[in-house]
Amino acid sequence: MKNVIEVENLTHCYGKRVIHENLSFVVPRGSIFGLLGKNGVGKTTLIKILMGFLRPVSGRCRVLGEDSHNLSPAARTKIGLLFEGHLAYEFMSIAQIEKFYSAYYPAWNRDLYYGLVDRLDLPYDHKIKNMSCGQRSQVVLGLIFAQEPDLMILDDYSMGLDAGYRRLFLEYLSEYVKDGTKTVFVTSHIVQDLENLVNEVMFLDRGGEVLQTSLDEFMTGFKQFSFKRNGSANTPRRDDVIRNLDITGDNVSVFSFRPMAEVGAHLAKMGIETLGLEQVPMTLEDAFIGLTGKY
Amino acid sequence: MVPKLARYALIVLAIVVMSVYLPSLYHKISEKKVGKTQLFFSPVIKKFVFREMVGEGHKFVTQDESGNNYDRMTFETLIPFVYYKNMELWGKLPMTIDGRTFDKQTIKKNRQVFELKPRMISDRSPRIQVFPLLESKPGVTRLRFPEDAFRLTDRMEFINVDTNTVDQDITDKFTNAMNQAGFVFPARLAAGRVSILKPFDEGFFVVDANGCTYHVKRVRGEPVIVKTPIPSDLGIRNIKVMENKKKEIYGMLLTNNGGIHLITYDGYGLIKLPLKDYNPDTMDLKLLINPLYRTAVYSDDHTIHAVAMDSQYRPISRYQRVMFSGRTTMADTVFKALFPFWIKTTDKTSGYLRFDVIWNGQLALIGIALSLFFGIALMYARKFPIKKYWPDLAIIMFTGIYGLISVNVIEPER
Amino acid sequence: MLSSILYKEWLKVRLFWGVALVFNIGVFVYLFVDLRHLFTIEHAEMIWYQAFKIGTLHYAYMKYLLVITGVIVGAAQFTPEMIGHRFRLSLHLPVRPNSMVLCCVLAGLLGVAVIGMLDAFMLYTIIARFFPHEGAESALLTALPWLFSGLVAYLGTALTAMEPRLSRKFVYLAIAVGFLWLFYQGNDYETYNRALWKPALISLLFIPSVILPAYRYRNRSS
Repeated sequence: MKNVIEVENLTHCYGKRVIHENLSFVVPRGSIFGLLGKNGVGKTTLIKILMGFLRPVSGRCRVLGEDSHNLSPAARTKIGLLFEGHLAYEFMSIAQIEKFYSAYYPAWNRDLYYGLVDRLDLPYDHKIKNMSCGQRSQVVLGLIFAQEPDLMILDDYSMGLDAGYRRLFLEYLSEYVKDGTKTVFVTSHIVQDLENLVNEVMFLDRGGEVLQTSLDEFMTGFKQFSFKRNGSANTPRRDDVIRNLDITGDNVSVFSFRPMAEVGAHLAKMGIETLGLEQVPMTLEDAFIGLTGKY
Repeated sequence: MVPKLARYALIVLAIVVMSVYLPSLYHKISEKKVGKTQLFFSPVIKKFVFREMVGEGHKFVTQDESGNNYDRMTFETLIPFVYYKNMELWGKLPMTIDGRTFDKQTIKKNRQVFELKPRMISDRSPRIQVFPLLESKPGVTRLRFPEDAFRLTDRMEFINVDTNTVDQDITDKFTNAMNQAGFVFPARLAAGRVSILKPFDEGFFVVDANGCTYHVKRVRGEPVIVKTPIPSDLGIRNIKVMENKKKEIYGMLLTNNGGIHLITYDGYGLIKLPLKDYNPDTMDLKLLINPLYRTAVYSDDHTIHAVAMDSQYRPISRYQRVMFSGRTTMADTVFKALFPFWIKTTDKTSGYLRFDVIWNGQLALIGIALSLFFGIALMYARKFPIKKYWPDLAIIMFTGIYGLISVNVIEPER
Repeated sequence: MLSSILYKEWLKVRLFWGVALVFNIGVFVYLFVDLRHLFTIEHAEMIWYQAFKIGTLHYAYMKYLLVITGVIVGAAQFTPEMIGHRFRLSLHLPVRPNSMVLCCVLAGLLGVAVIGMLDAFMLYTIIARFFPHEGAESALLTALPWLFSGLVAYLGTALTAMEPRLSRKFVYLAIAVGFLWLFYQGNDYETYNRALWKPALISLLFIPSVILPAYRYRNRSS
């Protein structure tokens, strides 16, 4: 199977508010796919639709070759799903939840679960409802690894995790995808983590706007240029060259997919003096904010 | 597919619930109180007279069987044995009828009423088969419940009420006495009046395995068992014992084919009441005994019958009429049109609840047609194409308004 | 799969099931104490007369006991699932969702039925202590409709909890309440002897009907 996830012309609304409009994308097997976007653009909604918990207004979704709202038990065995908020059955304890889930997955790897969970240093009869947010996250992620799924869908995996555990998790994840047969579909608030992890990104914006590209292409293609402007000079605007801009006093940053020379000429045409125009190197987080804005 | 079936399951449940409560609500709203007709035989004019409620607000007619109307006071003087207290008030006592004079004491002494409602028949109401056998001659004026109660199995077992265990002595005493009298266990029927609010106690009439009827009493602690000559092939369905100071009649016996017999004190001789068209399962029966005549009045919700008899229970006159309360009203007709069927749970003629579907006949087609019309209109308005959702219409076709409400409140999934 | 679901449901519900159990036992302890007291202040033959001839039900306050139990078990089972949409956790398990929902519901029914059986045992034992066995048997037959009303109360709670839409919740609630009231149409002993099997049989339809709200839960648009 070439593509693990295939979405075709997906449209979904909450009442009058358009969340997705004719969204189409594929997630190839073996890729690590990052879904990025501000709060409320519909990341979790998309995951709900992919997993069959929500019926879209129109469009087709296929996961592991099956219709997303009619996934067979065989398909679900192969999908590890982390719900937003690290949802779990809180009335169970560490040992009880492992015992419960292990009955459903034939390839269950108990050691992976306890490998992660033992680091919590909690007794096995400790109930999940008595854990902190981060502790709970560790348990749930442990369950997903133990399942050894072909496709991991992680909705905001980083919530509540401390820096040390986040690092550990990323190590586990890298190990997990090493052989190239496993696919990961991940969203995160901590964009920076994804820089070293994902190889495909998709940016969702409000109103259904989408940009899908490989991480490399994005990082090389999307650039930040900064310059100083004269106090009374014209103000640059967003257009098809200037994707986004950020003005703080006299310091102006513009973000664009075009080369610097083209951007400089474009600004000059608008009558804007670009003093000291230079390219600023960006991290993924910088690029993300540059693309979607600070607010 | 499966969610579709689940929806139908819910629709069936909704239909069942509605077919119990909606008709019940309708009856509650539309029921107008019209009491049953009261029918008597007048010893004065030798005709049947009756009092019938013909409308709300105490609208009565008081007539005789020939259609003559009477005012209330005259009507009551026609049945002086019923209204003897008013007769006395109006100074009409003592009165003379057919050359015989009756004063208040005579009337009172010679009046007796026996009643048998369908609910009272033993197979029409539940009854725990444990009974107290009262002491017949207690030596005091008030009757008392004994400290034991009996059950009939392969013997007559007495259970002590305080210890809740079998009292072997009393059991053996009575069982032996029963056996000696020829009683064959197990018993088919045990009948007695379980009460201490009666003038005296006549014990129990017990029918054995062969159909023979025995009269069982407890006299000064000892069993008194009499094998009555009541025929064993009579097919006894029910016996109602009614102790009365006159000591003429033990009670009423009902046979399997609907015959009513009085069990007399004269050697347990039976007097069969000459009733016509009497259905014990649907009709209330009252036997009014007064100084001159005996009148049996029996009625269901529709028709009232009566037979007047002489003191030997020979029929003198018969009468029947469809009661005003039994006529079909507009509300009844609307009911039949509105609901294709309904589920009846209670039944005043039985102590057992029912759960019967009662079909309302052809008039229901009107309601069904209307429901189908609204059903189609709603489907169209809500954009459920009939081609795809025709089973909902089929449901409406069979269940009328119940289906119409159910399929629209529990909408199909798109 | 069934044993795993039973395990999960048991873990979820056991505290409240235990509370319901203790409550039921408490009611029967009270029945025993109440009857014992009655038999000390009144003559036994009068009490027997009231029970057998007049039709006084000395255990009448048990009428709604299993309804309360059914609601407790149903609420304990489904409220945790509905809070935060945790039901999705079970819906993502590699089992057919309809089978999973039916298993959950059967687990709950089992829980209510076990308490119901215990109630039946306690009722019979207590009544048989003070009355002849006919009275104890009569009590069981009289209480049988209340067992069904308890099971319907549980199923109605499950239906109502799982349904995503508020207006439809009221519909299911109305159907469940209306149906369980069918088991309270008469106040005399053994009055349901002849008719009980009909509404009891029809009430079985509540079991497959739980698939509908679960389906609607999975297919909502918001």
